Order: sequence, then structure tokens, then C-alpha cells
Amino acid sequence: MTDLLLDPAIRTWVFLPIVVITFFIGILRHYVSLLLMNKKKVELENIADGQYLLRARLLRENGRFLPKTSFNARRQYLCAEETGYLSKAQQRPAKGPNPMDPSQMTEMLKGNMMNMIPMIVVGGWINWTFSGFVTTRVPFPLTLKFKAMLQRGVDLVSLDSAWVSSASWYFLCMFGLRSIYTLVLGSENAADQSKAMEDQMAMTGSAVNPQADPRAAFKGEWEALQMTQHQFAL
Amino acid sequence: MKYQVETQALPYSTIILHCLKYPSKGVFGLLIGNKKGDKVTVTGCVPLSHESTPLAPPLELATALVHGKFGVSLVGVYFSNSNPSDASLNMYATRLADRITSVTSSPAILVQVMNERLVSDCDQDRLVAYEKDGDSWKETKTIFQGSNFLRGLQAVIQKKLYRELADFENHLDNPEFDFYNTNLSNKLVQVAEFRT
Amino acid sequence: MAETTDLTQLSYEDARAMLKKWRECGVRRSEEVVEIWEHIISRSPASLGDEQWAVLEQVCIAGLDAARVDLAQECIDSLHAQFPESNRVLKLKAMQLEATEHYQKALEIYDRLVEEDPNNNSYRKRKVAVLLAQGKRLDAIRAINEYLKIFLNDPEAWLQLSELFLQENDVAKAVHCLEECVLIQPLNSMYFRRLGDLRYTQGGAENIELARAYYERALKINPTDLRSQYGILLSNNQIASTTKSASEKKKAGTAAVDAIDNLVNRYQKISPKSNPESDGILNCLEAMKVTVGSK
Repeated sequence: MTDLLLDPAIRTWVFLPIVVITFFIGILRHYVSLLLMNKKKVELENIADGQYLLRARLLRENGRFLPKTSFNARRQYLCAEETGYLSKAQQRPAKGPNPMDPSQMTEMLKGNMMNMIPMIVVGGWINWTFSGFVTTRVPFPLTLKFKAMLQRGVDLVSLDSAWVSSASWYFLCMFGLRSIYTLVLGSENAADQSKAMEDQMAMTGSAVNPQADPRAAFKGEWEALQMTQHQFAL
Repeated sequence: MKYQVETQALPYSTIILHCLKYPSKGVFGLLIGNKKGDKVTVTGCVPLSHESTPLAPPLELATALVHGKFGVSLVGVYFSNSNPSDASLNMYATRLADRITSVTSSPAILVQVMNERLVSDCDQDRLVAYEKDGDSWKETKTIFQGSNFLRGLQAVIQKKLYRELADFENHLDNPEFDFYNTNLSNKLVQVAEFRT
Repeated sequence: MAETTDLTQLSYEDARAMLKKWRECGVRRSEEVVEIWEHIISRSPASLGDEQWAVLEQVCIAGLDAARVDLAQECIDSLHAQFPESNRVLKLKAMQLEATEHYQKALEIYDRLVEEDPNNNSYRKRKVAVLLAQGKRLDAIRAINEYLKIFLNDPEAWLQLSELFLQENDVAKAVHCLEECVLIQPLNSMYFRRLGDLRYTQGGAENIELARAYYERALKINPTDLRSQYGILLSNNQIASTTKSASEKKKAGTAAVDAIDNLVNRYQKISPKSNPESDGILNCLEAMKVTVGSK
């Protein structure tokens, strides 16, 4: 098979523009999301909850360094029937994030919009403007299976699978720029498409968020603390 | 009033330097000297700690060590409070003084650094001495040598020699530090031209 | 500590590294910080790059601590020009008010900051510091207690509270606070040692035994700690001279002698040049060994 030669104009007008456009769209995404997202507010009560849970755990683990009376006094403080924080916290009315809460809905909607709209619009636009180009080629031979991945939009049976089409190049850029974004924007950026997707996956995956129902956590900690046998370790 | 307390230039300077090294904290130390009749002459001092609440173990140790070295020359305690405007007696200092009284079986004196007088243009004595009278501590007379040696002290402070001072707590953190401050004392005598 | 190096002669890079080290360890060497800043860094603060702002903050706090309000004002001005909206700069301003004894105004700023950002505990801690500066010890104790109801895993606050209880001569409560510190950071030998010190100060057979256990634990974590070594010696000595059981007495006696041997080993390594009195201490220890051994 004769070697394929690419027009240098493809490099200047297709290959590089796709890289530059994806990069700048990432940056734009980052700043728009900064504008739209309001900072997550953690309530003081939630902090205290976390601190008390941590404290109960620490008491279980490190209580062995205290004399028995000190240990019992602390356990009493946390677990006492009426006044202990752990007991009181279990009786609290359930709160948890309500999925029908309008403010939460907008938050979720915003997040989704931030992910989906650029993907659809820009992807569509790139596909439309730069469709049908062979832009570059990977420097090693690949099997036929890769054709579907690397040659989206170019359905040529005879083309070697090492060649990359413009649409595929766009996807490669989109997912491959993560480290460059961290370099430019710092680690806490919202530019990265792939990370946003991971987040979404995680959200659907972990429905049982410990934040969702602190009462269960308190109950578990309360039981564990009641079970703990004190043994002075020194 | 039974005693008159005279503090020689060297211990006087060392006490002030100890305060300067820890400007945000109270300090404690032991006084070395001799008693002749009603006059107590303080000839040296041993800086102990820079906490406002020194606990028993390090104090016990230091008293044992210093008493072992100086015997009955251990005459008292000096201290300063951590809060500059606080001129009250520190309970931990009086307790330490009582302890010294029982160790040396001779009444110990207590010397307080008046923090508010630690300014260069003050012509009062910066130290106030106390003696035990029954159950309470009563102020007693100090013999203030005037501003003569204070000029020498100024030179010492300008040279920042207080950074070289070590107290017993520094020594416990790193035994390389000498809490008797032998080297520092030599330097002080040189720089400030104290007559020993 | 006894260092003779002249800070004003450091190179720019060394000075920068030193400031950074102190900043990260949180040591309080305000006078030195001010000195380094005035003699070395202030020649060209811009060449620090972004580190400049952190250094300015550090110098500002050091300046306030070393009674250099003028210097602190300069730092605050430059920081304010760079971050006009920042709460962190506002906090520095409040600290300046504290240093100049305008406590009420400082408190007002802190109150506002707490309201704006209830999760940031540094503002609450400053409020306690204001009370302490005013000498209102009991109010400070109350304020820390209030603070610890929410942030109850903050060893720094517990340590401060134990210090305050000690000033009130309430050793039992101070012990309670230190025990909290131990719960939170069970690998910090300082807390164990201090707990040992407190138990020893409390006195009584049971407490001395606890003290010994804590000193041993502290020494296990930090084998070169001289204080715990001495603590073991003292507590064993105490036990040996008070206990009635003969076997206990013997055991404590040998433990005390072992502790002295360890201390002697330690002191023998010291060059008499840096500490000319180490021989004297050695003699004292040897003498102690004889008296302890004869019990």
C-alpha cells in the first residue's frame, strides 16, 4: 500500500485548531462554572456532627491510654440516655437532602447543563466544520478494532487503522488535556470533561451518602461505643 | 521587715535577659547568693522555665541539681508574670519558694520582675523583693544600684545576647544547652564591663 | 536557643528558606522574623513571587508580636492593596487593633468574621486571645469551652484550656484536657509527657503510678526525650520511697537506677565545650544513684 501523505494545510487548519479550540473551551467551562456554581455551604451543625462522630471513634481507638474513670466519664458524656450527644442526635428528625427541594434541583440542573451543553454544541460544531479529515496518525500499527474509535466520520475500509480522523482527534483532545488544565488552572478546576463525567458516575453510584442520614451513623457509633471494653494499655 | 535584698549586676542582667528572651511568657528561676545578717546579696541566678505554670517534675529536678551544686547558697526564686500589667504574686513561684525554704531550711526570698518597668527610661528598680511573713508574702526592701550598670546592660541587649541564654527547659529539650550560662556570664562581664 | 549566627548576614535565599521553615512549623520567633525581613528580604520583596503575600502575613504577625506596629501597618497596607476584599487581611487588621489594645473594636471585627464564615475556627480562637490579653481568664475558659463544643477535636485549644486551668490551680481539670489531646493525637509524645507531669504534680500513689506509665509511653514514642527519662527517674524514686510492698520497692528502685544510667550515658556524649556544666550534672546523678540504690 502506498503511504498516505497529508496536506500541510490540514495540520494548520484542522489539526491545530481542534487542539486550540478544545483547550479554550475547557478554560471557558472552568470560568463559567465558577460563575454559576455557588459555593457549597456546610452548616455548623454538620461540622459538629462530624466532629462528634470522629471523637467517638477516637475514644474507642485511643481510650486505652486513659484510666478507666476518665474513659467512662467520656463515654457517659457521649452516650448518656438523655443528654449524650450521640443519643440526642439519633432522635433528631430526619433531614437529608430532599431531591424535590427546588434549590437542589437547580444545582443539579446547572451541573448537568455545564456538562452536556458544551459537549453537544461543540462536538456537533466540530463534526460539522471539520468533518471527513484524516488529521494525524499514531506512530505504531493498530488492529482493525481501533478503526471505530480512531476513525469516526471517515468510513474507509482500506485506510490503515493507525490514522486518526478529525472527529476522533477532538475526542482524544477532550479527554487528554487533563494534566494541561491542572498545569494552567490548578488542581481544583472544572475544565476537564472526563472528570465531570466521573463525578456524575460517582453521584449515581453512591446513593448511600453518609451525609444523607447522620442518624444511622450515630446509631452505629453509639452501639460500638457501648460495646467497647476498656482496657488500660500502659 | 527582716531582709534587704541586693542583686549584683550579673544576676540582675541575666534575669532581665531571661525576660527579654521570652517576651510573651512568664519566666522562673532560682537565685544564688549569701545572707549576712539582714542583708541578702544575690550573686548569681539559674534560669529555670518560661512557662507561667511550671509543673512539679522539672522544678523538683532543677532544685535538686542546683542545691547539689550550691548548697545553702540557694537563697530564693525570681519570676515574672506573663501578662505585662499583672503585678500579682504567682502561686507557682511562692510554692517554689516554700519548697526552697524546706530544702535549705532557711527562709527563701522571692523576687518579682515588674514587667511594666522593663522600659529603658524607667529609673525605678525593676525588681521587687518579698519575704515570707507568717503565711503571707510581704514586700521588702531592695538596694537598687542605680543606673550605672544599666548602661552596660543596654550594650548587652543591643548585641542581642539574650538569644544565647538557656534555661533549664531549654536544657531538657537539648542537654547541650548550659542552664548555668557559664559562657554567657563571661561574655556579659566582658561586654558590659561589670565588676565581679 | 543559643545560636550565635548573625541573622543579618544571611544570603537572600537562606533567609527566604528560613522564613518558610518557621512559617510552616509555626514557631514563634517574631523578633528574628522582623530582623530577617528588615535586613534582607525587604530589599526586594517582589522577587519572592507569590510567596510574597504569605511572607508579608508572617512578618505582619511577627511585627505585632514584637511591638512593631509600624511594620505591621506597612504589611497590612500592601496586603490590602493586593486583596482588598480578603477576610484574612481583615483578621490581620483586627490583630493590629488587639496589639494596640483596642480590644472592643477587634472583637467587633472578629464577631463579624465569625458570622460571615462560621466554619473558620481561627477567628473564634482570636476572640479567646483577646480575652486572654485583657487578663479575663475565667471568660477565656468559658469561651474555649463554648468553642470546644463544636470543634472538639482541636488539640491546640485543649492544650490552652489545660494551661488556663493550671493557672487557676485546678490540676484535675487540666488533666482532663490533656487526656483529650492524647485521645486526638496518640502518637505525640509531648502530650503523654505532659500528662505524666500533671499526674506527678497531683501526687498520691495512684497518680504517681499513672505518671510513670505515661512517661514510659512518651519515652517509647520518642526515645531521646530527656524529660521523660527524668520523669521515669522521679516517679520511680517516689514509688520506691512510699510503697509498702517490698517487691514493688525493689522493682521501682532498679528502674530508677536504670533511668539514671541512661541519663548518664546521654550526658557523657556532650562535649564540655558547649555545656561546661555537664560534669557537675553527672556528679549529681552519680550521687543520686547511690542514694536511690541504697533504699
